[in-house]
Amino acid sequence: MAECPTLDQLRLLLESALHGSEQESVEVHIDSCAACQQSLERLTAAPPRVKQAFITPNAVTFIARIQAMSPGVDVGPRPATSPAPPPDVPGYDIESELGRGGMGVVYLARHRRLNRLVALKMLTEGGLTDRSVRTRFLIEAETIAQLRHPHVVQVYEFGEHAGRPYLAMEYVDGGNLAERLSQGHRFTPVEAAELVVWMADAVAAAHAKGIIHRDLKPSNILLATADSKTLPKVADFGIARVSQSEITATGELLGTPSYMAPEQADGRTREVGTATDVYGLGAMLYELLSGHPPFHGETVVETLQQVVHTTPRAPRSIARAVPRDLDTICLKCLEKEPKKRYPTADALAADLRAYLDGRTITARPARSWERAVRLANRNPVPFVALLLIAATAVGAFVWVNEARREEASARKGEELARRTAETNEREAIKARNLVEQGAARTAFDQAMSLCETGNVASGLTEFARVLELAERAADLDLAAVVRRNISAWEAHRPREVRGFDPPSAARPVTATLYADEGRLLVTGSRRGGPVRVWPVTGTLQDGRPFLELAPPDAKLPGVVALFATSSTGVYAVYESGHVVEWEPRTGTVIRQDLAFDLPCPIRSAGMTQPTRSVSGKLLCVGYEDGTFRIWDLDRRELFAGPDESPILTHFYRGPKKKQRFTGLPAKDDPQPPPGPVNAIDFGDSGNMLLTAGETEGVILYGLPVPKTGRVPDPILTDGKVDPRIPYHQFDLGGAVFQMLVSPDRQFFLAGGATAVSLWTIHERDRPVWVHNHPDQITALAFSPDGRLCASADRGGTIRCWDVLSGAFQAQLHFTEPVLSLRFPPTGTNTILLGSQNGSSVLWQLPLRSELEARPAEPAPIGPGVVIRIGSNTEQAVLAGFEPLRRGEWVATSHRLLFWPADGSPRFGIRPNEGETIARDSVSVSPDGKVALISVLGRKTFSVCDLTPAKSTVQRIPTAGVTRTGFLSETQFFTVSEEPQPGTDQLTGQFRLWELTRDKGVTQSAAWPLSAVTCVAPHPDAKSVLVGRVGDDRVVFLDAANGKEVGWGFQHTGVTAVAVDPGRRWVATAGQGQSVRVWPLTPDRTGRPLDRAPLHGDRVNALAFGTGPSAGVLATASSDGTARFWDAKTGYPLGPPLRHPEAVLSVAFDVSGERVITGCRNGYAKLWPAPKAVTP
Amino acid sequence: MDLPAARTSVTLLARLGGSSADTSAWEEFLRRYGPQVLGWCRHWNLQEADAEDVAQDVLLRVSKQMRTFRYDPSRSFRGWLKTVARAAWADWLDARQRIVQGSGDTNVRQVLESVAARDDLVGRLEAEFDRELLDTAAAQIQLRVDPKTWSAFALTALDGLSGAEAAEQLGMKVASVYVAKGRVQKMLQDEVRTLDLEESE
Repeated sequence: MAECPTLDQLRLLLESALHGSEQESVEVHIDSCAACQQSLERLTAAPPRVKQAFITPNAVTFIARIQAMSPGVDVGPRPATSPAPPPDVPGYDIESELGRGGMGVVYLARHRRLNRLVALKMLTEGGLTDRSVRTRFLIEAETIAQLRHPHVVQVYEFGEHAGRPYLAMEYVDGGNLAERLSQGHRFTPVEAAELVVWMADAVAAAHAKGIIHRDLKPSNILLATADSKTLPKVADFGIARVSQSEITATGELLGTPSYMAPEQADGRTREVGTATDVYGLGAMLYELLSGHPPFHGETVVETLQQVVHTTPRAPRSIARAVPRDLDTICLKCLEKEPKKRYPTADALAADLRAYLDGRTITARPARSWERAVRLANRNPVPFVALLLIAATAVGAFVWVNEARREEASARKGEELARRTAETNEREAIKARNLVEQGAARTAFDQAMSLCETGNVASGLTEFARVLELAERAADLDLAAVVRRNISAWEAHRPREVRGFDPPSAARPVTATLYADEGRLLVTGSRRGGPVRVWPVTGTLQDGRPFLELAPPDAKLPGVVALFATSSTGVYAVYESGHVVEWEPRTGTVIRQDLAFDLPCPIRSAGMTQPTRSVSGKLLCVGYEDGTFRIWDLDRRELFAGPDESPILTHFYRGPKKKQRFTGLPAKDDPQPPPGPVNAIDFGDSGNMLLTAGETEGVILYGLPVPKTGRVPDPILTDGKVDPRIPYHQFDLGGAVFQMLVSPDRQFFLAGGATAVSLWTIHERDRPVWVHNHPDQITALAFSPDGRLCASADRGGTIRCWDVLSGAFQAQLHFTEPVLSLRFPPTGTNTILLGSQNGSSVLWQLPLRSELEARPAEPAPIGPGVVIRIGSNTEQAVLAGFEPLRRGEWVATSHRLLFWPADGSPRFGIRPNEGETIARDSVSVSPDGKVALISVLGRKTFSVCDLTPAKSTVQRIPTAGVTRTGFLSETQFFTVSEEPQPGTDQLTGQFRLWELTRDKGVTQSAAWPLSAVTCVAPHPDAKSVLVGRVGDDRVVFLDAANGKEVGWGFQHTGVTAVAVDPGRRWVATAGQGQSVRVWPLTPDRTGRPLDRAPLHGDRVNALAFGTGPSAGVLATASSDGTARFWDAKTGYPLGPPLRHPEAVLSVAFDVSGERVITGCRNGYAKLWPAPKAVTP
Repeated sequence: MDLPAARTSVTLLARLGGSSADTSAWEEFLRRYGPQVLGWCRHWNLQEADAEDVAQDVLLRVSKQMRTFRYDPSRSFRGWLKTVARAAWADWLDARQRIVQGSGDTNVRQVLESVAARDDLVGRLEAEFDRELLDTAAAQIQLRVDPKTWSAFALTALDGLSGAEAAEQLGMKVASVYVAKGRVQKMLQDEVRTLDLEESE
């Protein structure tokens, strides 16, 4: 090809769309044609590729530096779903992986302290994310942990680490029975019987606990060798379903249903029970005796068919050495009908023992005519015929014989049948209870999650259902927990605080406004009637408003909107076109203008923020006909539009999005009659105007600064948009019924037919967030601090959202459409609703619950200091109750303050300027008479007498005291740590002190103790519970000599401990936000708090309640919440206590009715404790 | 097929903002976005030591904001990133105004406190996000096409070789090199578009 191909040909080439011969010639040509290569280069030129990041020279070291200093940044530290590689489980070293499936994984691990090998089971990520699998794992792990039997693989421990539940089990190294059989190992009948007896014992123990294995097969029988005997250990109880055999749900399980009971193979799951496990045991006995499983078809389906329909061959017919009795026992286990088998594993074990001991077994061989009946059932006609013939021949003999045998064993048989029925029923009830408990617990999680996400009303309904379920399942613990939750959440149910306007169909409340710094509420209606002024505080006299303000034009009395002036006044925009400035405290008119003409009814109005507008005070209204006007409140005149007329139109004349693709110029577009302007408001610093309508979405117009009294034309003479003037159309994809600009004027909320969305005036292409609403939006509101917003719809649903994140905060329902929403000027826990039915009502939002907040430091260290990670720079806030004055105390790093409740004056203790109180060094004695405090760097600590008579301070010479605590009213301890001379190591001392009235403070014991992470006194006043750096458990140490007493609790990285004053529980918080509750007995099985909602960050403090809150555990976390839990069950109680920053301490008062929390922002807060509720 | 590098990269920011953030995601975030923030500080004429301090502070604030505004997978990812960046900047500004009043160097600081500087910061983070998408897309496409096709694309589009040079190196026809380049480029564009949608929806 001499001539160059055309560009089109080249394009086709690139798309591989040229014909074979043509392509070949073009390719040949290109190989030698530089011009064509250049054309191809152009055709394949990349769209401007994003430039590679320019890595500045120091960036690498810079990043390393941040990483080094921000290990604790923990960006949402939930390693729960961190990828698979061997997890770090506290106290264990993982050696290898033994097996893995879809839901579970098993590791071989070594218990560090006990130096014992264990099989460590964990859920995989797949298992973790499946809530039901996780729940089942936990419930079953718990049940099986209680199962102690020499022939059951023992569960040593189960817990949770980093969000993953784990199960440490006995590691059995002799392989499993399936492997042994496949190696060709043969068992003598006696060996076989012995093995199965042991297995049956184990299974019986499980049955006694209501656990049915359901999956007994040789691969689930692990073998241990002891005294040259092979001992079976039954494994995978129940957990089988979530760990190993679910792997094989598609493979092995379906591959060899040889051990499956007929009721399972046939899908009759209701019949699955103890007899199912008897079948499994029988199937294994069969294989041990005969060398083959009872059924083994060519295909899975064939095997299943055989399991359901075929009578197994007698083992004796395969292996002649099988004793008749074992043959009989085995076949009885393999009966198709569960009722015909041994009812329980116990009964099977008893018969096997009878055989081993040479006694008579209870099972009788199936009689000849029974077999005949079975055959007849399969092939009815011919066999019935045969049977009849046989019966006629030998009938007499058979019947007599049978009758005798029946008679002999009649009583025994009846007895057995009765027992069987009873056992079965008991088992059934147990099993059902277990299932129902599981259901109740799952329902609990749902109820909690509803409440947590702000849907308190629905959550409470769900809780009521859980209570019913729990009671039916006889789960008393859960029932108690649910009652407490109902009581705690009930306080968060949205409720009416007070009403203002009484219902009146003639005056739907369409406008509301708080005036006079929140002391007055002003309401108005578009349908007319006076504007009413209500006092917000104090009682209403006869339900009458404080004032009524008459409209300027009685013929058109409706109020379009109300706005606050820069002082105490109110601007009311009337449908008559009047703008009236009222003084709401006196009811006088300050100024009145007929500002707007009335070509048609006014639909909406907006105003600039009086204090922060560069355009001065402007007011705008939108009309039904799609036009709008801007009124200058300062100059008292209308703005002029580009054509000198004040009539401006809600229509976007710039390039339309849709037309960009058609290439049609915008000006050719015929202008349709614009729809009504549903909302109008000013944005930014008053230099932007936004209009919203049923057509055209939201349009933004730039206004000139400083103001000129006119609106410039954004369209230049050549039809293009003037780049200097902001002019934009927001595409909301439908009619906009409501629109409201945020208090900072940078965002706006838009309400459509089924959604509410938040936009910024800067980012114009898409919304910040969008949320659905059940009905058309009728009202919107922002909280004055700009953090919350609310939307209401025609159906009366009101939803609150976090402005920036769009997170759903709360929801409430009103019986009527809500036409106006307003947050009070201070606080965001209430919202005012103006309704279609004429009422205006203040509602409590289910957001906050603290009793009160008291500032402990006027200027908290918060954001504003360059972050340096380290406890020394943190503003520690410890808080507690002191019973002497029935008040509270709060300690920060700079002072200790007391708020007495008995009327005595507030007082405080503070170190010298520049000195810092050691964190955790502040304690107040249980009787409130003495406070301990230590200042960093001093050689003494202070014992302050708080009794009003004395108020003395004693300085006790002991350097470096970092922690203090009271064992009793007369005994306290200190922990001091000091650098060891010559090294960079710290040495520590624990000192025990006695407080006596005459002798003052005397040291009674001292012993070395260092690297303490937390310490808590035992209520017996004799020992302390101590957690140390690098120790993977917390231990009780004798306060007098530091010797370990009793036992410890296994928990890695312990950050906090607490002992229940009721002496029932101990709680520890450790690595990965884990919290465990232990009985205060030498029992080492701790229960992890594993129910959602878990804390999202380090747990800093723990406390147990007393009195009405006995058995309640409180946890305080760096995630900014404190939570309550039921110590016995580990269930969450009630809503979280929300704080703006990390919560550092938590304490219950002596009465058990209140809780105090200390937050890093320098505030302490008081909260009600969850009460016990009696049914 | 296992695509650890690719998938991780796409979900990196989602991992930071989702409920399952972990240390590795944070490190990856620092590696990718750290230089952008540092570059931003330098661009606005901060001196080296100041730049690092400010960059560090801004990064830590970004991480804090990520915790505050959790990414909701059902919403626009880009929008979330911008919200977080803007909030971090505002937070930083807030803190700054409280502590540096009266100190010198006010001109530079004022510049950094302008809306333009904020938009630049957001823009830089967004650009890095685009790069992340592109890298991810490239990693995925590379697995989908045969190695020769990929090499043809890489040599011409990434390494800047001419079609003829690449053809010689790979022993291909020049025309085939361009066909390969065009094809991969198109796949890449489609993939980026898909990823962006995935991230946003």
